[in-house]
Amino acid sequence: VIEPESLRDFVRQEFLYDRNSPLGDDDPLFPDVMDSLGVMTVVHFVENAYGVSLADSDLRAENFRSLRTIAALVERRQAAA
Amino acid sequence: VTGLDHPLLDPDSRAFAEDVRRVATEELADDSFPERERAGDFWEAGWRRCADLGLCGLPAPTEWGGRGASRLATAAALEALGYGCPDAGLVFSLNAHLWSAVIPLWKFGSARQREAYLPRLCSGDWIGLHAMTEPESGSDAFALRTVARPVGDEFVISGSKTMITNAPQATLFIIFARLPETEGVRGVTPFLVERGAPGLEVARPMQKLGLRTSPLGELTLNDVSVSRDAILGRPGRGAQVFAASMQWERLLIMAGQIGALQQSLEQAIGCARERRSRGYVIGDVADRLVDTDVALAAARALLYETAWAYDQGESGPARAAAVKLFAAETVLRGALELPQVLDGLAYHAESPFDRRLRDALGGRLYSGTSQMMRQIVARGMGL
Repeated sequence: VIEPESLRDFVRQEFLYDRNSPLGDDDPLFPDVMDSLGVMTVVHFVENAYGVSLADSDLRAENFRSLRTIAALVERRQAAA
Repeated sequence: VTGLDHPLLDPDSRAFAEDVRRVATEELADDSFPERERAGDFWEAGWRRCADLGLCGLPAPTEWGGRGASRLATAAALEALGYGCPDAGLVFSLNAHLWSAVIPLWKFGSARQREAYLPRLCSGDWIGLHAMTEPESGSDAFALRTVARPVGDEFVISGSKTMITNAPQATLFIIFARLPETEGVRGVTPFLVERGAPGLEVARPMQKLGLRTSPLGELTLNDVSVSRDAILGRPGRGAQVFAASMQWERLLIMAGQIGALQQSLEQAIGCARERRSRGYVIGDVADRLVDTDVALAAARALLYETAWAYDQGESGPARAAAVKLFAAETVLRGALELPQVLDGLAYHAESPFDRRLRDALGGRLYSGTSQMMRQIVARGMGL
């Protein structure tokens, strides 16, 4: 099961200039806070942290718009495994 | 205060940086440099001396032939090298070798790949590079046309690359290519290709405004066959490899230029004192030297503090981009201010400030322009 705080901490540390900034579940991430290179960094993190393997077809903008959409993607892949 | 005095440096790292500075000043500032710079010749003997010092594998683990230096210690050593060695092109080539070949192999290489390549790269026997930029890619690094087609157990790579630092001298090429039917950042895959591979052609060196002794060239890949073992990291995930390289590079690539500006500043202060002692009115030159000194101290402080923070677990692209931005702009501003100490004489082509200015111009262009660095920082601020 995805641990939302670890994802939040990762995104905050990796992408926010001030890591103490608040980051809500629905705050915009892609493309506002992270670019396509950042998406690949998140992919690397969730695959290692949550033991899922994302397909190329998962790498769509709508899956990386916020913490909530990323978590939902991971949970779908966990459920399908 | 220079990097050698920085309070965050541990005694071993300080001693190593002092050693680098001494060797660079005594052995890497030879009389042949002006002629080599005019001709744009890479200095192989200088590279060998850097290798003997352990600079070619500076941050890599000792088990792979590196020196195991922290980012902070690496910054201090590169600043010391840039201070003593006037050949900024040589220092730039060393940076390219470290950030685009040593780091990705260390961080993403398989055990076989590390064993095969890291000791050779860290010893300086082999020179490495990565090849991302293409003639048509423009500002989007991932708009690649170079393609790697799977054929049986191999991949066949076709395409061309341009503006590739170290290309004319390199032995190991990390070629970024696209897997078929992918676009954008998806599908980008790095392949390890050795010099002499059939179909790999290295064009003649490209001439540059500054950093002339750092060889720059073009590559053509005409159906270069490599095994699946040649993929660095996971297929299609080359963006992660590139991101790791860029993070190290943007954090540390200006360290040598900070050392070079320190050296130029000391030279300019000497000129100002000497001219004043001969009765010249130096006017606002003192203000310019003071402003350069303060800005240089600020750039160094930002570099060292940020390098230390990454050593403690800081990550992400924004803070490294901030270092690159501030240091590059500081070095360029300093290179524009210091010639004023010589008045019109500074405009002479033999002026010591001529080459420094040409070298400094590249800082706001390579490894991502200053505009790109601002965009990365702005994104981190949610702007």
